[in-house]
Order: sequence, then C-alpha cells, then structure tokens
Amino acid sequence: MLPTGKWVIAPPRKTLVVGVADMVVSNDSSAEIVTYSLGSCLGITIYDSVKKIGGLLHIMLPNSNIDVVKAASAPFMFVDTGVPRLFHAAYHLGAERSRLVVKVAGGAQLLDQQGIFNIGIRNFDALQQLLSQNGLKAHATDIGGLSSRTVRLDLTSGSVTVKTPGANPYPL
Amino acid sequence: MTAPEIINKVKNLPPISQAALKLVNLLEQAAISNDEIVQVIKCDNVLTAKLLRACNSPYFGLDEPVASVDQAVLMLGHQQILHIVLTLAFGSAMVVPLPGYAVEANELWRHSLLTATAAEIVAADAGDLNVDLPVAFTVGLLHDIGKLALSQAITPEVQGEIRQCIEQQGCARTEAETRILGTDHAEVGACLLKSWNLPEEILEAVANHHHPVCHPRPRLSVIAHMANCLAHLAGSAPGWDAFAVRVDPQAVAALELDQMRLEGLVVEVRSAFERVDQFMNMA
Repeated sequence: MLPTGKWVIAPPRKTLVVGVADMVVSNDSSAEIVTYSLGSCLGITIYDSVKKIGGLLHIMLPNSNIDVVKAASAPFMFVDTGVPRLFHAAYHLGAERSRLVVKVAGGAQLLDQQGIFNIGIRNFDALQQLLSQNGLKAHATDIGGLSSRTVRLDLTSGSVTVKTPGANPYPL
Repeated sequence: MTAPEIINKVKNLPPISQAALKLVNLLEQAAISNDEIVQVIKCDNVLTAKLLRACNSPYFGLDEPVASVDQAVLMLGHQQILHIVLTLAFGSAMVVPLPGYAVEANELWRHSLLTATAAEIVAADAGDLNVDLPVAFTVGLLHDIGKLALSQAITPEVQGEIRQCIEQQGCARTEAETRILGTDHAEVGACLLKSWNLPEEILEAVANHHHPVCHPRPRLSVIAHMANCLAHLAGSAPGWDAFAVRVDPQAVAALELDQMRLEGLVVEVRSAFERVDQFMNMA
C-alpha cells in the first residue's frame, strides 16, 4: 500500500558522460561525471569543494605535436591541449585555482619490453610535467596496471571512485 | 582441453549467416565482382532486409531509397557493402556479454570493430605486405571470436586461476590460458572459424594474433596483432586484465613502427572509428 500524505520521489541522478578525447565541467552539484574504458588513456578530475564545481577530462596521448590538425579539432585528445582547457572551463564557472583538487586514474600498460607502447606512462609523465610547471600537483593517483578503468566524480561531495572490470569500485 | 574439445563443449554459439560466411570465402579471390556479391547476399532474406534498412539509414544520406541489393552495391560500392554485411552478420553474435572475462554487452563488439578499423589502417600503411583491406577488416572483426566460446566453457574457478597466473607471474593472458587450459582464445577462435570453412589466411591471422608469424615473411597475423594492440591504445580494452597482451618486437620491426608513428596511428584509428561507430548500432 502506498504511504499517505505528501511524498516526493527524487528524480534519477543526472550522469554526465565523458567520451574518449572529451571533457565535461559542471557546477551542477546534484550530478556526477563519469568516463568509461580508460585503458592507456588518463582520466583527470578536478574539484573545488567550496563552489562544488568539478570536471573530468579523458585524454589519449601526451603531446599534440604529432598531429596539430587533429589537436585543433579534438584538443581533448592530448595532455598539452586538453588539461589547460579543463582548468580554464572550471575557472570560468567560478572555481578557485588554490582549492582545486586534482586526481588522476588510468595509464594501463601493454606488456612491451621495448617501451614503444608505454603510452600510459608517457601520458602520466606529460601530465606531471605540465602540472608542476604551473605549480600544481596531483593529489591522488591510480596509474598503470593491466585493466581498463571507469572513473566517477561525484559533484556533491567531490569523491572520486574507480572501477575495474569484475571488481568492486574503490575510492581514489 | 584442446580447442576442438572446447568448441564441442559449447552448445549455444550464435548462428552466423551462411551468406556472410560465403562472402568471407570470396575475399580469397583476387577480385570480386559486384554480381558475385549480389548473388551471395540475395540468398539470405534476413540479411538482405537488414542490409537495405542499413543502406537507407540517414547515415548514408542517399537521395533516393535503395530497393534492391543490386542497387545498394551500385550506390555504395562493394567495399562499403562488405563492411555493412560483415557487421550485420557477426555483430549480432558479438554484442553479448562475456561473464568469463567480465566483458559487458557491446564491449567485445566495440573492441572487434575498433580492431577491424585499425587492421585496415595498418594494412594500408604496410603496403608491401600486400594485404587486401577487406581481408584485414574481417580478421579484425573476428580475431577475438574464440572468447565467445571460451567464456562459456570455463568455470569461475578456472577464470580465477587464469587471473592469478597473469597477476602473480606477470604473464600474458594467452600464456596463462595455455598453461591452465592447454589452449588459448586465439586457437579456439581459429578452430571455430575452421568449422565454418573460412579461408586458411584468416584462420592463420586469428590463431596467431598474439604470436604473429614474421618469418620467412610477415603474414596476416602481424596485421591482426598490431591492430589489436592499437585498439587497446585507442580506447577499447574490455574485461579484466585486458592489457595482459605481450607486444611482439618482431612485428613492431616488420611494420617499422617507432613511438612517433605509433602515436600517429592511434590518432588515425580513433578518428576512423568515430566514423564507423554508427555500425555499432546496426548489429
């Protein structure tokens, strides 16, 4: 039997999905941002806990100089062109640089003795370098390994969770 | 267990259109005429109907609706038609989830399409290997089909052992599968394709996509191997420990790849995949 009186069911939680070589920044504190199948790619989240503004970027490669034409049409594919846009979009919505918490997950690695295929680590190195040049750092990281990851940023709390196939999600 | 034993053990593999299998066999010929393609497709009513529906979808933006297979081949060209037909025929078999690998519905299919796209790009890039692009596409599409069978044949306990072997000993997935089962998903896949009477060239590429044959001359498995590795880097590596794939240095040398070229290929593959992504929904 239905309860009597006035009762309201909350609408389903809004999920903003970030594709490969894509970015979402939002100030909708009731939403969450998610990106799937991060393999050697990196998922980079930023969050301002006072303003409850956050963003998630899904990059594939370290440096846009391999294809400048592509970088112009798909800047979120590369660390050097994607990361500045992530921060600027958050500033545009009112986030404060000093409050932004940066978390990074992804960078899985194929088994390659020659190291040509270690794009995951090269992505992370490029990111670390870019952050440190700008006086920033990653507060939490989950890099490498053999599995793809799904990353979720909860815009209410700023919590970031990581999930790999066949395993339970864990906080980052 | 041997690969044929696993195939025999698995009872409910999805049916594949005989017309599509015949079409794959035609790929062995030096040249295929439009007429031959039309004749083969026409024998399968369901495939014909699906093909016409796909051709008339807004994606192709044809001015006038296509009403027959002949017209479709004429309007879109036979390479495009082959892509659509193979996608329709194998996609419905591969959109299923593989609980044994923690692969969700659609993920194996996405990975296969991305690998098929990558295989065409690698084959075009390695012109001196003389690989037909439709053959490369087909191999990419079918390279992991053994996982469909293996996923059903192994128990959760055996999966756990394979996983433990990968994580504790740092071995590749195929190495772990061979140690524990006596065969791997590549061999099982080739065995399945053999039972469908597909050409030897395609069986070789599927069987060896983790151990490509480079000598005396590089074979199709080199393309399949590199396409699979590229798909991992371009955004599709489904299931647990999906990166437990050993990159073959001889294949890298045969294709003259370096870091720069590899990253360029990743961009190309991703861009091309965004164009074929609509095939995902056709299956």
